[in-house]
Formats: sequence, structure tokens, C-alpha cells
Amino acid sequence: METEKQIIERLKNCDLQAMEELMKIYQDYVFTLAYQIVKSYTIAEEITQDVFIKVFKKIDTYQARSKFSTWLYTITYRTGLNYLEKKKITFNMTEIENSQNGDGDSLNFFETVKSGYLEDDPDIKKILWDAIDTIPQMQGLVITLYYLQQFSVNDIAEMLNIPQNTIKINLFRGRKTLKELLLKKYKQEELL
Amino acid sequence: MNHLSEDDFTLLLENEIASMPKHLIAHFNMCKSCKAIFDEQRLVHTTLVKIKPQTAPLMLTRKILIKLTAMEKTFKSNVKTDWLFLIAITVLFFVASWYTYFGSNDILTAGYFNEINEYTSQFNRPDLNSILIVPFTWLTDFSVKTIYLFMGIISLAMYWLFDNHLNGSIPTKKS
Repeated sequence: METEKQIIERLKNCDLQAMEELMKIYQDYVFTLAYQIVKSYTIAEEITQDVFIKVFKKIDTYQARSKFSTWLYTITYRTGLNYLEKKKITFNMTEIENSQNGDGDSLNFFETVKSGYLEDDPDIKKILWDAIDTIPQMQGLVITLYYLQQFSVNDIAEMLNIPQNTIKINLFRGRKTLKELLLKKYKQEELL
Repeated sequence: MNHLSEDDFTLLLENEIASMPKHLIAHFNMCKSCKAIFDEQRLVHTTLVKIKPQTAPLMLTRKILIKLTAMEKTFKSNVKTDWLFLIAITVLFFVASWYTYFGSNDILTAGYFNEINEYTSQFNRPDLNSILIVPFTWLTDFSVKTIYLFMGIISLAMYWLFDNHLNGSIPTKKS
């Protein structure tokens, strides 16, 4: 089995197959992260394309001092921010967007998750991402980086170039908001 | 009584309880409010730990690969164009230098320094004129301005050539 390092070495020699292999590993993550920044599937797709093209062009500048994923997500974050800047859209740091008020679905969400996470269940995944999509952008972004790629608070702070405390606060508030959103959507009495 | 901060809850969730001051741990064990917040945070935390990424659009990989393949082709054709361009520039530069050096008297005669020309023409090198200048007599219509224009075109061409490579618009092939 080829390691990531070997794939990157091949990519440095402009091997398109290596690029394809890297995309297989990372495209969902890059797309998810881009979506958390721009909140639009179409634009997130465009950003994902841009990111991988940049990776192909700039792979020579990757020094392997940090993890490849850190480098990749930093490019994604900057590309997303550049897009917002061009369109003069402010990155939402605090404002809570309109939450989707649920219709009182009887699914006991957290219990279902606790009793054995249905990892491949598209419904569970959708519910979670729908909820994450409705929380403020920074909270959604930090939660995505923290839980999806299991970056440490320190890594995320370096990647986003913001203080560690801000990351911790966003994590805390993001979890709190998420619980509130999920409780709104699913019956509270079944959760507690 | 000071409640636990948002930072403290993150530490607790990351199992860094050992690194927390004892009075905070004591508080956490006593305070129902903080315990409730912690339970809430842990509930979401354990859910999110297992989260999977959203699925990227189906054709995304293909779209990117098509773009990259097109880039590679452009790069290859650019390399060809660059070589032709470089050869053309070299030839032009050579002709310009050659003419400027050997035909300088003729250029100066183009209405600028007639008197000097009359004087220097007596000392023109007949051998060089016959060998180098005469075959290019059409060039004698060139003025100094034309030479400047020539050099300007060359500078622009060189700029275009190097800019394309230096700003990374064409990937550099190593292998």
C-alpha cells in the first residue's frame, strides 16, 4: 500500500494519477470545509476544484514540515475567504442564522447515536450536517476541523491564524448551539 | 462562586482533567449547573466525534482531472511556443545588434547627423559595407526609432516569456 508521502512525491513529478488518488482521499473533506465557509454547494464545488488545481501547481512548495492535510485545509480556508472577499461577503463570526424549526420528528437523535452510531446512515449524517450548516460560519468551520479531521485546538489556531481561546470558545458555543438546534428538531423528552 | 469557563469545558472534554487546577475539579463535582453544561457538551461531543464528511458531487474528480489534463496540454504547447519565441527573439536580437554595431554610420545618416556622416563616410569600411551592410540595404531605411521599437518588442517578449513561468501560471515539470 502506497503511503501518502509516496503519492505526494509522485504528484511532485506531475503524475495525474497521484492527483486522482489524493482527491479520492481528501475531496469530501475539502468540499465539506469549503461548504462550511461559503454555505453553497455550487460554490463549494468550484472552490474544491480551485483548491486541487492549486495543490497541483504548488505542490513543490509543500515542505512536509506540517501534515499534508493541514497544508491542504489552509489552502481551502484561504481560497474560501478569498472568494468571500471578492464577493464582498463578510465571514459570519457571531450571528446565528435562521435555524430550521423541526416538525417534531419522533426520532430520538442522540439516543440513536449513542446506542451505536450508524456511520453509513445517510439520514443521521444529513441531520448532523444540516444542523452544522445552520450554526454561525466560524463555529461550523471549527467544529468541522476539530471533529472531522481531529485537528487539535492548536493546529486549528495556526491554520486559521486566530488565538486558541477563540477556537475553544467557538467549539463550546458550536456544541451548545448544535444541541439546541437538534433538540428543537427532535423531541426533547426522549433525549433526557 | 465562579463557574467553569468555556475553556475549562473544552479541557474536560479532551480528558485533560489532570491539567486542571484542583479547585476547578472540586467546583465541577459540586456545581449542578456546570455539571449540566458538561453533560450537554459531552452529548454533542460524542456525537460529533464520529461524524463523516459530506459527499462531494459525483463528477467532481472527473471535472478536476479534465482541467488538469487541459493544463498539462497547454503547458506542453506553451513549451513549444516558448522555444519558437525564444529562437525568434534571439534572431531578432542578433540582427539588431549586428546592424547597430556594423551599420551604425548608416543609421546615423538617417537625417540626424548628416555632417558627421559625410565626414565618417570617407572612412566607411568598404569591406564590411559590401559583406554585411549591402545584403541588408533594406535595413538602411531604419531609423534610430525603429531600433528602439525593435528593442521594445524584444523586452515585451522577454517579459511575457519569463512572467508566464515566474508567476506559476505554467507548472514547472521536474521529471
